[in-house]
Amino acid sequence: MEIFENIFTSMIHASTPLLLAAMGEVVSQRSGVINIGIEGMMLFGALFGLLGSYYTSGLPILAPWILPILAPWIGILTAGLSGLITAAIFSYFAIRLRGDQIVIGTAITLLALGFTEVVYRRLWGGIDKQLGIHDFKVIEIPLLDNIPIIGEILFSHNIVVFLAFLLVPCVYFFLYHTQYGLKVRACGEHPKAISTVGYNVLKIRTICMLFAGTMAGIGGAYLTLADVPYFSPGMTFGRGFVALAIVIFGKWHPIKAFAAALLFGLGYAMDAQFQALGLGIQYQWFKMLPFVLCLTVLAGFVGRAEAPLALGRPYDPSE
Amino acid sequence: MPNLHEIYKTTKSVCLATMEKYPRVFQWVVTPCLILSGAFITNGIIMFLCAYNPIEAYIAAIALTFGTLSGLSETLVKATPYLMTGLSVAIAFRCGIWNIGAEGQFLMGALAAAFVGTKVAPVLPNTSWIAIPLSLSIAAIAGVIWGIVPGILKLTRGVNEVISTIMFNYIAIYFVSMMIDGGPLQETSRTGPQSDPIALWANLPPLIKPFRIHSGIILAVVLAGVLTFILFRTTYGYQLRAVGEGAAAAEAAGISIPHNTLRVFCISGALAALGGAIELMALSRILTDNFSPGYGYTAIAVALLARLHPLITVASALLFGALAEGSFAMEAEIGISRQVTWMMQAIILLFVIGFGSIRYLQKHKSK
Repeated sequence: MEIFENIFTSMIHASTPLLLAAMGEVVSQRSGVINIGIEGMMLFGALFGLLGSYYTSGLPILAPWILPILAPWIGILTAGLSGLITAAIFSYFAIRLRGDQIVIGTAITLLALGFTEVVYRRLWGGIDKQLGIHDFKVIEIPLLDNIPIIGEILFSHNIVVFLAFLLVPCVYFFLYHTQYGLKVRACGEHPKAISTVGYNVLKIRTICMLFAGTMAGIGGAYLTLADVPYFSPGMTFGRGFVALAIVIFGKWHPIKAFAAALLFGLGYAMDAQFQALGLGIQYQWFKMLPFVLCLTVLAGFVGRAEAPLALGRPYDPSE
Repeated sequence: MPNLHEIYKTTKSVCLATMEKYPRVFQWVVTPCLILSGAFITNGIIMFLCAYNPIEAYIAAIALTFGTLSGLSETLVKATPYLMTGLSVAIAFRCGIWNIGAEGQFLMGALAAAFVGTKVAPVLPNTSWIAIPLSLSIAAIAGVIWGIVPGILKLTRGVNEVISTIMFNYIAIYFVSMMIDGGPLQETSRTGPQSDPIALWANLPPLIKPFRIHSGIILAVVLAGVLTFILFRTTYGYQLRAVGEGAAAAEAAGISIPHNTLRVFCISGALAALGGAIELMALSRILTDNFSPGYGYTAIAVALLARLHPLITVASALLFGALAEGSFAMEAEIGISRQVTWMMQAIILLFVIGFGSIRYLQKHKSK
């Protein structure tokens, strides 16, 4: 019973960064922009989230009691900003200059891998230095966490987890029940139509992309602010690409993507739990699990013709 | 005496006239130079912001790379994997196939070569005439397998090859790790996560002692020539390019999309895998974790800078080889991480896009 509880608790823990990044990606892909650079944006977020919290903790002007509460939020803020700036670079090349989105995404990921490694070497001399930062602490929701099994699994997490889960209905409501959401979806299906009615496709896509970048940055920050208190190069290790697969598997729908994120979180959780058990199987099998899972679900359960029609195609307003 | 404005006007008109007179010079020489200088300056600014001295770093890099014989040899050596993976990406992108999987195919090629070199070669007659061709062909087959699965998934299940090839990269990383860390290919003493060195007769011979420059380089350049011929002088190449320019038009002209897709996935996978095999058989001879520092991803920059032309890819791979070698000098001299090359490569890619050199790709890109 305890292993069951552990697996599901860590499933929720592991799916949170995926969920955050995937929610941003759902919005940007619905507007017609495919962002392969999520991996890079998460990496930037992981680094800058850690730095934001770390340097806030060192500020002498603040009252000491406020630091543990304030510092992680400053981390989230800096991480979101770093994702936003990266997304702005992406938008400039992909939306304004109409470059190829796959190539630009790869470039963004390479940029992040290189830049974070340079900073890592500069600051910590190339070792995964444990920093005494203020990170997000687990909060147990009173009463609810006393429910046997479910209480432990669902109601004993840090605040970011709850907020990430709250984001899902928000994104759903935004996409399907607001006027702007309708415009976003139209941008992804038929940009020309939305342009003919007088809206600016490039502007809508840029805004969606900026949101996606911010969410990817925050998702990355979750890794350093709520998981491990240090940065190591390439620490996202494919989570950005998994988030991409979640969006496809979730058929570009926030609620279905949420279910997909839980499934992949389960993949990561099983890796951690089974390694701890030591079943006499090589650990690499479990490390492979999320990626094999990705391929299997993509090959097995996703039909064609589900993607937004104009996905990945730059829009030229002069045409 | 002419004033500044007149000088400016004359220069501008001379420039425009030369541009119209020699469009190819601009396309192949001036634009790449502008891209590179722009990238060097931007990268320098970022280095400066990280409190490193970019001028000192660049001087050290140039002095090592072009100032010494071993630096030149190392540039060639380091350019080889970039060339092989760059060719793999170039051929795939030409056909409109977004194969981001060169990384995994490279690793699988190296794994196959390590398997033949450590397990098969010792029991066969001990001669290079058997061991080397066998290693290379098994590696190519491994690459074909690793390449064709995403191809089949794309054709039968409609799985986007960008995602599937990336997933295959991660699976390859753990598969290699599984084989050499606790698996059948781990070294006999079972101390570290690495394989035994491959048999001596499976080794690609060096060209000029004492430098590391090796015969694999010649193989890679020859392959670039062969690919250029196939791409521009044969029906296969014509069909392949036709599919890349516009799948619908090609299909209407009676060219089979599935055939070309699978063919390109095979060629592309085999090339990257041969790159891995050459790297293993000529240099380290031992398969380790982190065998590839992201060659497959850098390959995209290599191929795009060469505008997906196999022969130009040789030049662009040399450039990236020099960058990689230079980054070692920078690391030694000012202590900056040598992964600064990744940053450099990314900036080059962005500049390439900024200059619109790959605009023809999106012009006809099928949906």
